[in-house]
Amino acid sequence: MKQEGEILKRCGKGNPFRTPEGYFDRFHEDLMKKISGAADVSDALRLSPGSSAPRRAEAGLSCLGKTSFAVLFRNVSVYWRIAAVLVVAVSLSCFIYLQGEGSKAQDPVSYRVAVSDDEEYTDEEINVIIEESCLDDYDLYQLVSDAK
Amino acid sequence: MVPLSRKQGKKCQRFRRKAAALFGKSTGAFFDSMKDKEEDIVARLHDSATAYAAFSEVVREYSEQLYWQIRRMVSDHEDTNDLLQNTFMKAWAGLDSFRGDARLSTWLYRIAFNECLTFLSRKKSERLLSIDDEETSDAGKLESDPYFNGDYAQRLLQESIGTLPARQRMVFIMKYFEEKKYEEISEIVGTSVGALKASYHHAVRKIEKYIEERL
Repeated sequence: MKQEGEILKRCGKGNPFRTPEGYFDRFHEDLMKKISGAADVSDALRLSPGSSAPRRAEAGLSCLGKTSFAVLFRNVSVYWRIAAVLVVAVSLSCFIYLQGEGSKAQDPVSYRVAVSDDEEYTDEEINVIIEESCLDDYDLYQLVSDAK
Repeated sequence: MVPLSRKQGKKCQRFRRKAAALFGKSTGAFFDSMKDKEEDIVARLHDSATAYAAFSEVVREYSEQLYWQIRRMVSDHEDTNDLLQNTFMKAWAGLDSFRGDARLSTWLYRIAFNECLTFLSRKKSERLLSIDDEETSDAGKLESDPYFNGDYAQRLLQESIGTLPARQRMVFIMKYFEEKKYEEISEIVGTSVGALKASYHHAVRKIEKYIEERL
């Protein structure tokens, strides 16, 4: 400490600067608000729940603004969002599947045969239909006798 | 502060041991507990569930000491505020990359140091003045700064610090005001201890000369 003895003697080590009143408390509050805002935005970007938190401040996404949807989106945890998307996807798949089954139930073979009783087919048309059915004569006989 | 004699130094050491014992711990255990506290904070910082709370503690613990470090570098309160915010924002963003190899305080100081360097080099390139004119403009700033309460000698000291290159300025501030060890400064600045000692010695000479010419 000897080499700066002269400076010490003349100027000392006192702090000539000061801060506005309550600065450090306000600083802490403002900073943590910014960080929590940045963390929520980065959460919205993350799609896989198992990944480690990137915690990067996405300045560009601050343009999401303060719309009610954006606020709701930001406040809901990412796990709940993924769960909601999965529930919607499963419901939609079930709906489509059941719709398909329902239309088949409305159109059974016997119904088709009953309707076709009043129609007349040519021999050629009958041959094509029988070939496409992949049934032999015995099976066809069984089918027709059951239908009656 | 007058340098202590050997006898006084030993007395001081005995007093420090007594003081540590008053806290109910031995000297070694006292510093171990501080190290444990830092390790605990670092562990909590890496857990996404507790990171926010842990970081809040870090900000409370280090914001003041970082503020004064930056303030002595750049003098202006508003600039210091911006740099301090940037430092913590970058620390938050870079938490994943902090593995606890260095102390938390060292890591934060390093970020603050780099922020100051970037700021000062940007400021320098923006100014279209020569070195002499730089001194004059800094002097004028301090005189009119409402958040500067120092006397004439302190103003001269601050002005002379402002004439130092950024790295040398940082070294001088950490050594003179904060009394950090050269080894710690070396970790922050990334320069060898020998180079730091030389840098500090030159900084002291420049400042003494600056003050002598004006007092």
